[in-house]
Amino acid sequence: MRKFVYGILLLLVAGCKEKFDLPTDSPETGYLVIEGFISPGPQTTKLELSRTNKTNAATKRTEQGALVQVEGDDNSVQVLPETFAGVYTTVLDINNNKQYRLRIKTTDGKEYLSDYVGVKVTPPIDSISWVRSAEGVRLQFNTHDPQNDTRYYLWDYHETWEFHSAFKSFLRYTPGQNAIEYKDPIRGLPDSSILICWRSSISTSIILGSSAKLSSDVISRQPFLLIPARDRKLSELYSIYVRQYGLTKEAYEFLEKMRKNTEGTGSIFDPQPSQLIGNIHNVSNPEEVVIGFISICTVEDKRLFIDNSEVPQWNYRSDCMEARVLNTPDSIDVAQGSGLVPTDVLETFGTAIIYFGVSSSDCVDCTRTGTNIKPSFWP
Amino acid sequence: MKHVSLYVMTIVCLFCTLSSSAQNDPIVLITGEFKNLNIEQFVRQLEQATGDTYYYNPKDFDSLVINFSAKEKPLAEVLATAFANTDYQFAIDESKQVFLTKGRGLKTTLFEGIASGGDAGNDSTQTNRFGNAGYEADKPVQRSSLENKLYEIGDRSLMNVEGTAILDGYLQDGKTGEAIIGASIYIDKLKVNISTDQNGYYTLTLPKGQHTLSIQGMGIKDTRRQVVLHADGKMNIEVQQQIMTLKNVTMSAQKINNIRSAQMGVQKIDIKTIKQVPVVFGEADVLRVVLTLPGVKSVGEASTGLNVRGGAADQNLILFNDATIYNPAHFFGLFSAFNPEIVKDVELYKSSVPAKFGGRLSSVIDITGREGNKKKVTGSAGIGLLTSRFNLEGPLINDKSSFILGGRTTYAKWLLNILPDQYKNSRASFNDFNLHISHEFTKKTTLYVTGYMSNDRFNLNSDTFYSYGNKNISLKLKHFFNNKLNALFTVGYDRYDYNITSESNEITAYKLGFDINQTYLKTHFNYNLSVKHRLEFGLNSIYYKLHPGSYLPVGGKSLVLADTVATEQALESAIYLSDKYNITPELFFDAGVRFSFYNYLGPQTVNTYAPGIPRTETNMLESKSYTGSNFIKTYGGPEIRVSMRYAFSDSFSIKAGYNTQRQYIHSMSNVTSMAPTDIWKLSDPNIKPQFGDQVSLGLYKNFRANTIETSLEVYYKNIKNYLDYKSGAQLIMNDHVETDVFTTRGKAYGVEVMVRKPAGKLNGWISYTYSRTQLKMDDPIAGEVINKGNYYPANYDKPHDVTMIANYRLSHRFSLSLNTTYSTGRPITLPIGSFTYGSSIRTLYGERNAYRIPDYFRTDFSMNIEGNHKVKQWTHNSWTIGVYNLTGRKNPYSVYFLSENGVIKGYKLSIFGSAIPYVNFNIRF
Repeated sequence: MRKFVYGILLLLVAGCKEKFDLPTDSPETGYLVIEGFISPGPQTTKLELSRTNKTNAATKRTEQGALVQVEGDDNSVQVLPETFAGVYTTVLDINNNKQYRLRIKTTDGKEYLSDYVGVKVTPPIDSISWVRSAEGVRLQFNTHDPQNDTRYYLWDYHETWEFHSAFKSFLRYTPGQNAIEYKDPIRGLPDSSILICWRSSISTSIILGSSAKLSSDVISRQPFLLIPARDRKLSELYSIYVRQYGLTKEAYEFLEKMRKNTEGTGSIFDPQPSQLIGNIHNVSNPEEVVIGFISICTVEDKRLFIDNSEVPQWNYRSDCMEARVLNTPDSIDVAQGSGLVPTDVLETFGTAIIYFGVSSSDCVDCTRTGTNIKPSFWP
Repeated sequence: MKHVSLYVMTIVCLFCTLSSSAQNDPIVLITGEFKNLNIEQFVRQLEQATGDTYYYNPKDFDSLVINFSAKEKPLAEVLATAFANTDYQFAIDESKQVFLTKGRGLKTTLFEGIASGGDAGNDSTQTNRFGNAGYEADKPVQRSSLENKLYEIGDRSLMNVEGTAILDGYLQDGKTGEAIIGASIYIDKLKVNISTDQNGYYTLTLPKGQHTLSIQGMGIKDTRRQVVLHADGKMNIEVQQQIMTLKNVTMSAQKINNIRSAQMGVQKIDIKTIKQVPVVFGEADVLRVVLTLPGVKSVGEASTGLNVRGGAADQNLILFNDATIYNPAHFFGLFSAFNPEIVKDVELYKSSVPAKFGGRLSSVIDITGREGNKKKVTGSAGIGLLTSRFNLEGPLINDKSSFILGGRTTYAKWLLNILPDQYKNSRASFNDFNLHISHEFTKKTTLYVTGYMSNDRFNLNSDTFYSYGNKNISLKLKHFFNNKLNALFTVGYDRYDYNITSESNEITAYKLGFDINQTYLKTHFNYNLSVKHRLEFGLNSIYYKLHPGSYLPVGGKSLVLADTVATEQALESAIYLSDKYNITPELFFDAGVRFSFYNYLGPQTVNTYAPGIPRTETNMLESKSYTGSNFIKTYGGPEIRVSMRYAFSDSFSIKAGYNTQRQYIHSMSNVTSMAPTDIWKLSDPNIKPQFGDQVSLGLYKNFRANTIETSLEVYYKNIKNYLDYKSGAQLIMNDHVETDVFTTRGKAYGVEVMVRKPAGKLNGWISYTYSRTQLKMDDPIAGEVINKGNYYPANYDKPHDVTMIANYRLSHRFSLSLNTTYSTGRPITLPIGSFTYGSSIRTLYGERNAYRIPDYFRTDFSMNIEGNHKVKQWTHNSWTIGVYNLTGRKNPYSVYFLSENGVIKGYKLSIFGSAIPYVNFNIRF
């Protein structure tokens, strides 16, 4: 159905997409939002508390100073201290055979309590596979539960890729002058600190999967991410770290509703936006909207590397251009004033530089779009 | 039998002042003395002498005394002598029939070049006698094709002028023999008004004596017939199609059907009008034109789901020649599934639904196909931007049986090819076929066979293929028991199915299937009790067999767990009776009652739930299995269909109606619009039938000699047990669907104003509708309430709607059409806030349907160019050139929200966001 929905929209593309202004008088709602999983130890449990905001607000309204505790049906109580604004973390002692609930007391004196939930043990990820097509490289999940018991899955990922500046940087403007000089006049090497960088991003969509309709609990080649053809992510080396969570049916349905509500395409074949009713309620006012569904599950993870050599003729091309600049104060003044960064010597007369190259800083200095600190897991 | 043979000739004869001359060999010469003879004595003598047959009206000759003698004179000379110096005329035809007339003579041969059946050019009245005392069914029925001729029914010599007599027969197209359905026959003086039935049959009970029948209907020329009724008799009336003639005579005196009929909220559009209305890609589209009528809305441009007077899309009974069409859409809803070449007309009942129809809450859309040409083989073919179509029709046995065959197929691939690269692999195709055969066994018994099939198949750049189709077949037998009672017996089978297959990943390869099958039997009787009472009664029965879903693995490696939701069966039956009761010429009642019964049949497993608390899987008490096809649950009750009309004058009437409806089958869809993958569900012990009632009141006034019709209708409607869906409902492959749905109540009210000019150089209509549709969800078993249990606007609640359809005929071969529509934007649910979850800004939605998308406005334009109108030529060609959305307004089809760079952004998407030109070519042969 979902593909159908996308399809019809795109089929009819011939039409057009325009901006639609939201009514500016959106009310101040401020409903409590709870995100995160209770993890059985030794994994750290991290819960984030925030408030709903105006539609045009760009910042997150964290909920600070709340008392957050996990209560077991054996009357155990464990508190999660606030380790960062709105973030409550600790390592919990969870018995897989017991049920637990979450209690939150906010600074405005309201008290929230979740339903009791049991512990779900997540099976390990079998593999992350990928296929290459004209569109690019599509990454897929593969997993299975030999107990046929998990059935509902949630994933998130963190991807990292190495990339290089388009042009090596041998030169720099002499400070305070309209002139250039070698960065490393002795060895004549390029500036390595801005040549190789890493960038990363995290999943921003809710990736769900279910094997409920299959005879065994198998997730096979479920696509979750497309790296478009010729994308910079695969220009050198690419890595993705994925985490897998086993969900209950109810938790899955809650997240599925949230996904449909917020990632829908708005076609008339889309479902109506639906109310998000989770398993956390205001103790004194059950009608109050509380967004969140608390689950307890173990987390499984996996990392995958893809090297540029594994995708022959990837043909990544930066849009970078190098311009020739005559080594005179006037032209250097113009180049410097335009924000262009010197790259390398293009023409010399003896040792004198006649022409040198310049390019935009993004093309020369990779730290402008990434970090030059090599991640610990990088080979 | 002389009377009988005469009528055959009179069909084609025309008056003129020429006296006749034709004589046969050998010439009989007459000798005799004629002294003081009156006409009867004179004719008797001549008959003895010549053996010829004489026709005359004794009354006309009562002052004639004949005095002369003849010796071996030919008949013509004898008559000429006898009538010398009088205004009597005579004519002798080839078969030795002699006609004596007063004033004007009779020409016994045709003028060259005058088409048979023509009714132009004559301006006086001829009288001739035929018919017999009493009515003999198997005798050839007289055919009446002339306006100014006086047709006598029964033997006047009986001189029986007291009491009433029944006149019945068919209204037919004089050229093709096709029945004219739903035409109005009325007698002004008596304020009698009836309509021909679905076979073109009419019956009138009238006082004996002379009457003028006025006849008007869709696609035919308004006409009149003069009759003198002496006894019961039959008369088939042949009328002419409204074809463009070179000398067009505008007849505007009798456009009062809208005033006369008792029915309210009924609109009929013929295919000619449908084809004039400009539509996207130029595909003449039956349902799109229905959408322009007041009270009919849809959620969006790419949707054929109709919302009639606040009803949901599944509350319309869409009938195509008695067959129920469950999905009337092709190609994602852009086109309706009816081939315009096959359709004759479409009738929409949105208020007074006749008792013979039932099973849906809002409306009946009755699409009638054409009957094949009974006289010769003809056909047509058309080429448009998206489809090509053809049809072929003709007699199987001349004048007895005919066929019509039509087909349509698409070549829409080019449309998909203009899409961005990533959609290159999409495919979409559709086709539909129609066949209709009619056969007349005897004058009293006719059989009709109708078949219909449509198929759609598409994939949208994924490995998932969707396909769906309708299949329908029906057999209808029409029989006349006598001139008071006739009946229709119909049996048929309807099927709608769809399936979804995905085979690219062998582990998850599956095929999902859904189908609905119904076998039905309908009997319908028309009984003319008296002048004042005309009864209709009958019995309908539908046996449903529904396969709510099967999910099966494809290929040996698939791990898909075969799952089949239990087959559902039910029997829906109804008996009905209605009476069209003329109390006085002004006051007319059409009262009907329909008792419908519904039985949910086993074998089936039925879940029961704890009462009063939300219906969820955890609150399920037990699952009870029923074996055998016993009745598991029975619903039923009366449905009242009453309407009345009071005519203050010929041009002003007031009508009122009350209607109730019950619906036992529900479409389930948690999307705004109708999608091909919606499922249907039968009422069961957990899902109650829907119930609706409506009161309506209307004022009808005609102006300018009835050439302008105006109407104002007001209605209020209640809907109970309409199904809505819980958030995130799982509808397909769910064997406890009742946990995912809940019932809502609805109310709808509105005013519809329409000004219509049906004929003339400039014709068309303007309508304005104010309407509201609101739903309320306060069902305690739902577990969640929408908008705190208050009334909220339905998705298709568009309060203001103005539509204008205009056609201007510049010449007989060239006309311009303009279609303009404005409506309030559809309600939507807007975000009222945002929050962060899953590393992304997400939207918090406010109350359901609390806001609206921008208003809708569109103008379309088309030119229709006909080839020349010579009747005799090999092919008739026509072109339609037009522009859809002339102003290029970007009407929002949907509004949606995405979070981009941490901020929620709204977008509106329009489908036809620019002017779309089209061209269509049609050829008839």
